[in-house]
Amino acid sequence: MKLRPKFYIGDVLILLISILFILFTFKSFWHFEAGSIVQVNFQGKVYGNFSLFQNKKINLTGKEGESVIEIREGRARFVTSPCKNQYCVQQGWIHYAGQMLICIPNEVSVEILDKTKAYDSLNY
Amino acid sequence: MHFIKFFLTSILLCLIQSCSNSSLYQSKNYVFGTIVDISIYGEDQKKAKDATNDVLNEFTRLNNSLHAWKKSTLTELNENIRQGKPSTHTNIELIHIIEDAKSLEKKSHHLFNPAIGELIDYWGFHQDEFISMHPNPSNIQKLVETRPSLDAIHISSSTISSNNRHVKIDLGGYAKGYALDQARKILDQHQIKNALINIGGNITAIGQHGKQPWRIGIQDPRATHAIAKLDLPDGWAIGTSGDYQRYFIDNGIRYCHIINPETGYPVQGVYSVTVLIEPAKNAGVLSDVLSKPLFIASPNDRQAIARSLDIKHYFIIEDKHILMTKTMSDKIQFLHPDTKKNNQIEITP
Amino acid sequence: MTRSIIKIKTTLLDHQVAQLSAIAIGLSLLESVLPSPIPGVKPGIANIISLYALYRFNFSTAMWVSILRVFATSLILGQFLSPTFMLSFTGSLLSLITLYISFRLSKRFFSPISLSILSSFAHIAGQLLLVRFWLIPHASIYYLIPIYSLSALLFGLINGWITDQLLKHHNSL
Repeated sequence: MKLRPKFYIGDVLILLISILFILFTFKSFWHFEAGSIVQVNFQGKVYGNFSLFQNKKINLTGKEGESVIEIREGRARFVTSPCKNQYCVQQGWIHYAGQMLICIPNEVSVEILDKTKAYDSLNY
Repeated sequence: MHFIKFFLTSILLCLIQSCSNSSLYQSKNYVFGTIVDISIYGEDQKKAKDATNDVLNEFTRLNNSLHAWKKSTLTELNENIRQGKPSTHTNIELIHIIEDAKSLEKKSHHLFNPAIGELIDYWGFHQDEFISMHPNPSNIQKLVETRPSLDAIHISSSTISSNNRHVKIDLGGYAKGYALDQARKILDQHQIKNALINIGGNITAIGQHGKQPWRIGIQDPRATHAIAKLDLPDGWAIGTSGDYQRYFIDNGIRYCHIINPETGYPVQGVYSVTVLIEPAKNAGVLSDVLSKPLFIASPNDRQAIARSLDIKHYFIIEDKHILMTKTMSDKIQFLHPDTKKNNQIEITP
Repeated sequence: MTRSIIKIKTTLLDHQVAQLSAIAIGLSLLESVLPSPIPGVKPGIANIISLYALYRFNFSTAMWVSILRVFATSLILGQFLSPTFMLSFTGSLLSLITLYISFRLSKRFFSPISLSILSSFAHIAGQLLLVRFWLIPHASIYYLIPIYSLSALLFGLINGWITDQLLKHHNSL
């Protein structure tokens, strides 16, 4: 039995384009910049923007029950969630711009905003 | 096959290349008793670093020449004035600065008054780490009655003299702006096309940040974040005077470092005044100087002062009240929706 | 009391679809038990069956296998019409459309591996679009695109290779 697959020229092309595409997405969507504002979305609406530099707990009661989000020392996380799989809780803390936690069952998402640098320099 | 590989590799290389070109060089340094923040866009690191170093050297030179209380060319001049001696062989740059400051003092109806060093010293702001004090009204009255003004300064060729011994020149509201204009010149000489220079909050822009203009945040005087943002196009400058940078609180009263030369007391009630200056050779100086008269003037006089000084864009924050010109309101964006809710916003024509 | 027996005439195609769907559902259920490091990152091994059906039989067989699997799996797991089901359904739909189009690509240049990768990308694209525009409209999920794309390529490649092997060596599944 021959296990070596036969690669055609088209396959190679698609493979290369895919790799390029993935490199491109990594480059454009992954900026590891610490954020300063976190946006909480609840039931399809922006629940609020909060500074990451405060200690705060946000309790949201959705269809499934109560989700608790914690903000502390420049990071945010789900403390508890009523969902079955607990993915959102397991993912732990997020602190980079663009990072987000989604809890689809309870319709809650927590995102570190990318637009933390709304400006280049501060006039004071 | 080889062709495809070559083609794709070159695309990849182009992608990487384009990323490294659009780099932003940033440096933060401590000069002038404040933070100097320089951003240079789209130049290679070496060139940006060289230019930045030249700018920082210039700032250090200016600091040594214009410092108001540490030994400098200016403190020597002040010492001569105190002793009633003329200063000879003063360097040409200082003469130009004093002449310029003198004319700005006149235009601002003496609200911008760089001759009140004795008052500022009395209030304790001539120290890096100042401490709170209890003001004595009669002492303040005496200092005000000495009528310090740059009007008393006489300049003939390289000799400076004063017919008022109580003139103590403090360029605190001028030097940072002057340094901005110098920085612009130096970066021009280095052929830097896109840069943003921030000296202790006074900012000027050269070119822009990639495809978009440089964006500036305006500090919320009672919070730790920006209250609004605006685009600062090429050649423009912005400056703010606030009661939140250097101040002390005594008996529950806030005393800030901006002193009304007519009363001898720090201005109260105004949180911050921001002025936006159109491109000009001395845009930096104007951005530093022109916020002071507006800060000090009584609310009724503001419009007249702004008109006589030709300030087209200003933005004043007081308790639950924001005042700005129509032209300014077209340019700025508030960052938090609550700002509009919690403040009465007044727009003047 | 009369006893009535409803007899449905079944065609050969029905049997094929039933057999293949049964395998696909089995694989889907198996996969749903496996833990996943990031929500949404799954091998999608059931896609092998759809792809096999496409090559071995025709597009409509592949389509039936795919749709039956999505419905049956969600019914068994009690997720019918839940967001999870919608995600799976949208992904499969987009993936089928992609297969329909890419099946017309020349067989001389493109093997099942290509189709597997393309449908894998379409699957994740459909899911991401659904999350963005319907489930959580305010969320920007750009941050997740690189990870999902990478896993799409990886699993697309593996599934494609397995399908290729199946077609070559087990022509009568």
